Amino acid sequence: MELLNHIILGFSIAFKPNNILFCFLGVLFGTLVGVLPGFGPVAAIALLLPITFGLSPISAIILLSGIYYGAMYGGSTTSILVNIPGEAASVITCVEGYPMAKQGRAGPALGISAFGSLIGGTLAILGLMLVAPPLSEFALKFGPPEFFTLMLLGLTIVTYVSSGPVLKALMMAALGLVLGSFGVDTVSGFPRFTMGIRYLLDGIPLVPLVMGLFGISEVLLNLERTIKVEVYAKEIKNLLPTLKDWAASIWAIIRGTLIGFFLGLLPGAGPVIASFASYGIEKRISKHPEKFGTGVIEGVAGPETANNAAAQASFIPLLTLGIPATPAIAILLGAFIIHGVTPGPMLISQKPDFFWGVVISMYLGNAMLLVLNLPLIGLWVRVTLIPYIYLFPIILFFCLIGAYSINNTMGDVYLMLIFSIVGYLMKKFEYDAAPLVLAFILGPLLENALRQSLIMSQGEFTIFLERPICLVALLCASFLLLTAFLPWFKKKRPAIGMNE
Amino acid sequence: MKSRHVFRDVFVIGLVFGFLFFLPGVGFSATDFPKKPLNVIVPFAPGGITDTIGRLVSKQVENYLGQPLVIISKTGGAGAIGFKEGADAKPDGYTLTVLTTTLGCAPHALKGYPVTFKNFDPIVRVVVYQETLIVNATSPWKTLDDFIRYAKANPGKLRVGEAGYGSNHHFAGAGFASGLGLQFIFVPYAGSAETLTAVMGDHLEATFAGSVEAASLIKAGKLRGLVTLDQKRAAVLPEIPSLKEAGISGLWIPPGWIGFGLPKGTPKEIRETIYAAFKKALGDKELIEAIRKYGLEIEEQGLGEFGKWMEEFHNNVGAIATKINLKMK
Repeated sequence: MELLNHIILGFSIAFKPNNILFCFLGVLFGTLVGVLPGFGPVAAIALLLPITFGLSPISAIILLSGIYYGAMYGGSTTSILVNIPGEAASVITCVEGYPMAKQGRAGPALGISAFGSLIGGTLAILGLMLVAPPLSEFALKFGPPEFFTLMLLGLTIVTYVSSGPVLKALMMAALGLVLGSFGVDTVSGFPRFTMGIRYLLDGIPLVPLVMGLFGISEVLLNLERTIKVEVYAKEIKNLLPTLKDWAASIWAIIRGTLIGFFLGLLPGAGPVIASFASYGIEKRISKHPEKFGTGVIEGVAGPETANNAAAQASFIPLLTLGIPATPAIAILLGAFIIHGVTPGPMLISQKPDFFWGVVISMYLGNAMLLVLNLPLIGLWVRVTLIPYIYLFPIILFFCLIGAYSINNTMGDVYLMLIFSIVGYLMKKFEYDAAPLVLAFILGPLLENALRQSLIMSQGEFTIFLERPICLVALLCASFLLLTAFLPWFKKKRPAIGMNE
Repeated sequence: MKSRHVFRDVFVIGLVFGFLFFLPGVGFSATDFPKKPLNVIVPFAPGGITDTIGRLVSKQVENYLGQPLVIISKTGGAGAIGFKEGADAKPDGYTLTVLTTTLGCAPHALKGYPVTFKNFDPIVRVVVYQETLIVNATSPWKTLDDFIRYAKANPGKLRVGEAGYGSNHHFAGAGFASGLGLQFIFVPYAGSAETLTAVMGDHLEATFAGSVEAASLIKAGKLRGLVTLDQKRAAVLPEIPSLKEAGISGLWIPPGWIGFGLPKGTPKEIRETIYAAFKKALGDKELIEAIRKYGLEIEEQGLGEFGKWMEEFHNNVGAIATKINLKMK
């Protein structure tokens, strides 16, 4: 009954005309950045953050979260039609989606991504509604030792499921840890790596970092290459998948939902890893694994479902524990704080209108996205045709304005430019920016939790073994590490990763 | 809009030339100030309490100065960036800075913090919000006495939150412990939202937090306030006794505060003109009500008096830092 009242409250807020408008703008912009290659949801949320300063907190978060999950829909379009991933979580969709388009089956591929996304997204929101409120009461039990072990487990799983060149990923993670430790140490007050620069006392800010690494670096990279775009746009028909397509995809969609939901809950995983994991699993359990790579529909349906489910599920650790699981969520966390809302165990009970309003708006947003991505698909196809010589200067222009306008500080602009060069070099030498940003976000949280725990226990490491939640998390993490090193398991480990 | 600007610009230019012609060498005069919009530097992020109060007050002051007050957020560097820019601005009265607790605390905790209250000409203090000693609502300590007795009997056992290195919460905890001869395990957190949550989850036995921040959780029955760390009760938590009522004297704990200042060396007439406008604005029912919504009461104090108050604040925090041997790194 209480749940029903909350849902009604949520509807009354989400369906206010202005919130419907902001939800629509969010998912529209999200689809756009999803479709546009080289400009993902992370940079887009960072860019739009200052524009929301004048909005009410609820409207602002509805808008910004719409960008995040909207991008998960849009990304598949470019992957399928152009063979260029619209954003990172749709990289794997190229593998099956583009061959399908070449065979003249672009319609069903786009259709099944949209329906899979809707199913994965809405089921994950249902999970969010059911899990988050009890979890947030339970979350008060999470002290520094629990936070520490939980994040440790999350990072272990991330390293476990992502393969690719491990050494490069570790190097990027190490760099991220170093960058994350800049600024005044909260324990001793020691200014680390500030080099006497006042700007660095608070550490390196996240927004210019990601705008540089994910936004401008892409523009720089594209200056030097001519992209020959081959768009399979003329053959978009039969958007509604046939019964045969459904039969082939339905289990992939259900599995994708579950994989996405649980990976989304973990600090560090998120949509990108979820899409790769889903693809890997579909391929492993398929009756015809040899056909993968030639355009099988379940290879599109699974990952596209999983990335949406993960995007929605990653709101759970944010709203209940205040842990940002992905870079995009970390920027959303910043937006929450700017708007005077502190994510954490008290959020749902103290600001029920906020929580339920935002959650219900996600249903609304997902419904809008289905309309945007099926009947209006022609519009987005045309977006993929925009020549980059117009597109990239615009992105550059908005990034520069966006970086300045958050704090009105030139420091942010310089920092963004430095990181755009770093990001450009990283892309040139094929280093993935994701581990860097993940370590940058989670590193300081992990360090604080560790030091707080040890201060509480007066230096006794047994504090991590005495508490049940910690013990379970540590056991799971050690089990995973063990299996990763044992040769028998090593062979069985699904070969999936972000760098493939 | 455009034509109005043109008209205003012509008017301003006319005014300037008029003065040049008829009053050569007069320079500043209280009557010709302000001739253009004023900037207000807010050194902390939009949406926070400093920004909110800064905006509310500035809006109201516009009515009395006859010019817009434009808010400029200059965040970063633990407030240092905004304060420094405000202090270095031209002392012509057109750049105000929102001054806060941090200006009195950070110079004692962070080496090379570039500004103190001395870099500003004080204009007005707007609000003061007391610190409160917070425990879990289910904890066995019902009064300050219970708590102190337990802490004395169990030195080095109680885990107490330190909400932000170099913040007034940090100095409040340090001043409380050293002043009463108690030993705590201080567990550092990033801010008071986090320490309050940790007290609710029994990860900390107590913490020091602003009365305003803790009020809603105390009223919701999740937390208990043992004492308001001031000589009088906090308006937002009228049921919690003050230090004086709890029978403790001679203990000074830094409260949070927000005020306005101008760069050092601003002419006296301009300071007085601006202060007069603030004083009128702070007396407006509208503004009093708006600020009360945030659980705060206006405690107006102007010019020299405010300056003296800031100096005392600065010295008292310095005394705590010396007492606990806080080394700046």
